[in-house]
Amino acid sequence: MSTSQAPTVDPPGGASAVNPIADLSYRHYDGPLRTRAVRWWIVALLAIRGTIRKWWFWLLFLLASSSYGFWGLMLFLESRFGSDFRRMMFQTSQQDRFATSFFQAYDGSLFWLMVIGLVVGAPSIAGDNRAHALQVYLAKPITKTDYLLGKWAGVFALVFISAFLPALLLYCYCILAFWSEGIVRHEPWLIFRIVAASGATAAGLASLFVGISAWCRSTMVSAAISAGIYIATSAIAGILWGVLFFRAIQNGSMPLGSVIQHASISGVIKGVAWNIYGVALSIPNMGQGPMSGVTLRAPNGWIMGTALGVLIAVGLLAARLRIRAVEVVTG
Amino acid sequence: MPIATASSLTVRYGPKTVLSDFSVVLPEGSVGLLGPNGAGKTTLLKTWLGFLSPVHGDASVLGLDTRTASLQIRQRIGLMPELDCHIPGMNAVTYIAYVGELCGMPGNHALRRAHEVLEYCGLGEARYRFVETYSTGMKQRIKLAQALVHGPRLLFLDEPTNGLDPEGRTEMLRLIRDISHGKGIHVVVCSHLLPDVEQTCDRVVVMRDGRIATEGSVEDLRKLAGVHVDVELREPSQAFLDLVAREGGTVSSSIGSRCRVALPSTTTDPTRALLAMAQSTGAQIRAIRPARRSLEDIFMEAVS
Repeated sequence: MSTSQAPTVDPPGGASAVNPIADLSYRHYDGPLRTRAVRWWIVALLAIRGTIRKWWFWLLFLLASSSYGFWGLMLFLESRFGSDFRRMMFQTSQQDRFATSFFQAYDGSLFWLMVIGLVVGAPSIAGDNRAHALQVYLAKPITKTDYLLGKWAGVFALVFISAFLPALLLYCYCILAFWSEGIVRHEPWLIFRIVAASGATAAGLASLFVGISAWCRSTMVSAAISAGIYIATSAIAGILWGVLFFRAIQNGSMPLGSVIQHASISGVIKGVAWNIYGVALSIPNMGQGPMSGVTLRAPNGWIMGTALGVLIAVGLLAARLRIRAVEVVTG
Repeated sequence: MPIATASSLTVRYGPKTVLSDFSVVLPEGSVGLLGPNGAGKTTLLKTWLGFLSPVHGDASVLGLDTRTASLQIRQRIGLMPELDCHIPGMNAVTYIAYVGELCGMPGNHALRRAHEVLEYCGLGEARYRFVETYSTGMKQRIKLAQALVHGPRLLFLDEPTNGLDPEGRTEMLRLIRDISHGKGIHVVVCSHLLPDVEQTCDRVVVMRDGRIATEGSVEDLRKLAGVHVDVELREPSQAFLDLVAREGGTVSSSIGSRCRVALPSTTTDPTRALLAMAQSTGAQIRAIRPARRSLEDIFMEAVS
């Protein structure tokens, strides 16, 4: 057996003439340069590309989507079994059941959105602090604002995708399944409400977690503080609201604690989304108990909107104050 | 055009003044910033990079004011920081390409350039390894690679041989010398290791307590004022040394058969004068060469 090989001849100038990597000498870069305006997006893309390759992100995404699946199933069953089922599950008008379903699904996914925001946002700047990466970033032609905007946008985009995509899928299902019922006529702004609620949630969570992350040198500490603040405020507000709610029910008056229920990070975010969806919730299937017939309405939109604005502003400002290439000890 | 200047610069960390009314002009080429720990070298570097704001005075890099043109400066320079620093969770080629993109390079250009620069810095074989797994020497090299990726005109190297073994140090110094000579890149090496600066730089600025202790080209600083020669005798000869002293010279050091002699500045032909003294004392001269100070001598003299 014989094999014939064509003789190899080095090109003039050696291997480096055809393969620039084989040329080990240093050369200047004289290629094109992008404008500085998009450099924050480079920082954001790193977080997005890095995260969507991780299996845990898709697991959390599925968990966040599960409540949309559940409410999609409820809408399907309602379309099969009619008004009895609607009374049991929705306790709302036929037209309002879409917005109610989307808000309930959103409410069910909020915890998982927080977890996604936490695992992406908590290490976003803390990891760079730990690895002294800020000296690398800020020695390059990007500003602190570019860097912060990029980090924030990375977290925002991932939370937004996780909130918006499952809602969009459910919306597409509703359009296809309930077109004949005039869903677009009854709910012409529903898709915009979905976008706005997803955006508000992503903005709130990204600002909080990036703001805390900037002040930490350890991703674990950042995650612990972020989760602690989120869960502790939710728990305290929940307990306070529960006490006030039952006291109000026993006194026969409407609960006054709707704002107190939202005196937490999750409460503010949910309160804003509630205002965006603009639905009133009845507590279903409670028989003749004290909560029967109670209707929960969205908290004051101005208060919730202002609180979310403050949360975003404080988070971003806190991060901006802490971002610096070198530690300056002024004490 | 000077590569970096500072004019009446005062930089403080809280109440502590690190640079006080500091002025310097770094000419083109390779310049070493020397000084003991705490002399203000790194602070000066950080001020030029815009990381620190001076309370008084002006600074410029490549003719651009650090206060008003910080981004343009950072587009034209590369920094190799003293501390270990990298962006976590990335392999070397992704990291360097990402840094290139941060500098404005399009993705495909940045990736190609990352491969080139990693090859140049000797990390070609390890380019797909995560940076966290690199040894200290490799981390130093990748810091150099990230500083070079966008083709800077000026490199600031802060303690570039920190933590390197002798072989790694030699290789790093070779790289720095290669970059700074004939590549059109100006280099500022900030170090307290004199041999590093001696091997890579043509000029030095010696700093002490936030002030310049001495500065100039390495060649000029090494020269001694007056007529200084190193004499090597076949064997030690006290008679020869005594005669040198009687003739108005000074023996500044004598170790074994070697001595450093300072002759009167009126001596027109030191070789002939020394040979005559050796002949009259019976000493045999093996070698006579102009005396040169080492950088260590210059440094010690400047900071003491």
